[in-house]
Amino acid sequence: MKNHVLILDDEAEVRDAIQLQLRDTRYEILLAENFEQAMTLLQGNAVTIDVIICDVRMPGVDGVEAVAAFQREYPTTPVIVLTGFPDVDLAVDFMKQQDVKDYLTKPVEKEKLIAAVDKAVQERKVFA
Amino acid sequence: MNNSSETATDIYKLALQSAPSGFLVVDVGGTIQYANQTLADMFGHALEDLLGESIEILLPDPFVASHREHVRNYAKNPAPRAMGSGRDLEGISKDRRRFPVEVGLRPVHTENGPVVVATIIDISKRKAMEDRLRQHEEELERLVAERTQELERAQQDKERMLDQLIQAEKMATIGTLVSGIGHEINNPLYVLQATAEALCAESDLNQCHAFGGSILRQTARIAETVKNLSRYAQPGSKQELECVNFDDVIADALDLARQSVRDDQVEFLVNIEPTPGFLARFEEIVQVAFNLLRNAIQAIPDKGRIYISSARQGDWVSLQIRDNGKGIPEEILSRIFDPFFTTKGPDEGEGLGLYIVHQIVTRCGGSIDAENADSGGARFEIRFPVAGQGSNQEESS
Repeated sequence: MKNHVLILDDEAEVRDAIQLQLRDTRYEILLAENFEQAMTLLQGNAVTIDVIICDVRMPGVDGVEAVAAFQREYPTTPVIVLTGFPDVDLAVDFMKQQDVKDYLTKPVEKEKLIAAVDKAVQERKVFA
Repeated sequence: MNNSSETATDIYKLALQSAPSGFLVVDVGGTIQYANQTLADMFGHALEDLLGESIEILLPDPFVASHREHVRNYAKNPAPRAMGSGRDLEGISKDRRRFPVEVGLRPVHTENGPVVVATIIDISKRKAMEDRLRQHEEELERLVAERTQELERAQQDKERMLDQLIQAEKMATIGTLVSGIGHEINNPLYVLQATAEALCAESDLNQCHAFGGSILRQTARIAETVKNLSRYAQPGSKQELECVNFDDVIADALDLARQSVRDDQVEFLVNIEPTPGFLARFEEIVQVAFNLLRNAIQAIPDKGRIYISSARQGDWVSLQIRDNGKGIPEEILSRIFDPFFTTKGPDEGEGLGLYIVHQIVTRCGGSIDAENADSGGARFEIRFPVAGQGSNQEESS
């Protein structure tokens, strides 16, 4: 059974880049350019989303709010934060308060991203 | 019978012999017909040795030639005068000691032909005092010149330090830019990363070309961001004053400010009228505006508003930056431009930002005011004299 990964980032080229890095994996990619789209995809019954990869700096609802909402509505779905924002304090906040599975900063190597997604999916299976 | 005339003669003799000045009577040939005791003493000669001698024995060698010349001229045009007025005259004593003298001359016609009556005063003491006085004056002038130089150097040092402070403050504010800029650089870097990874694994040529194009786009994006940041970071103090417009200033300052906020956190309401330019250094005014914007951003709650407007008021142009935050407590309003005054915590800044802003603005002949707006929130206004009107001198205070 394929696992589905939801990518939330406001920049098209970044979404493409994540897709590029995950293209040789067995993961099915769903793309969202804002929080509303992401929620629509999450709420849809067609697929179950196994991992969310989420950006921080976005117009409208930003990563901080988005992750909080994901935790509320879909507490069993692990979130990986992938951000260009190099703020260490923010990272610590995320890890502690929001219980984010992983916090990655751009640019990230393909192997690292895949490993993070693999790990998140594994843990979800364990706790599911 | 001649008692009275003898008495008179005695008095004349006494008067002449012992007068405080030296007296000489010299004939046209330069021979001393008469000398008084004072003169003899002055020159260290015995009185009888002087009589019948040439006047030249009293003159130092350098003066002899010009004395003969003067005698010739004097003979043609005899008139009473102070000799050597304006020149330094010297006499020479028997023991070859030279000393400065003041000489007065008067021609007198006698039965035996014309003679010259001369008074001679030894002015050694006076000259010595004059020399000492002149030395003191020169010393004073030297001291004044030295102090003036010191003052100028101190002034230059102060200017230099202010420039350094401005540059340092600029670099400090870059810290607030970096977090926003990090995003601006890291996102394209990430796309580069992923694209390069894929390119390395790709064999389809068309796809490779597509990847290559993407790589080029991202590198251009990064280069642009770095260029903007570098431009801001340049030390600008060496630049000349130029004509600066608020439109351009706010455009740059807003670019910078937007880097450090999330797009929905702040609403910028910009109402810049075309206003005349003023003399300043462009980068410095951008620094000022960015500094004020940054403060406003920090003052407002989420979804706050910052109003930016410009206006012309007669010979002045002004820029206003107002926010809808909590405003500035009245009791500290008068101190916010003081150096090292800050309301932030110890790790958040040393409180030089507004001081620097104040220095930059006043150095260009402008002024800055802060007050609380009626609607709450703080309002900062900077004003500059319109270029070309009245004096736009740079104040060096």
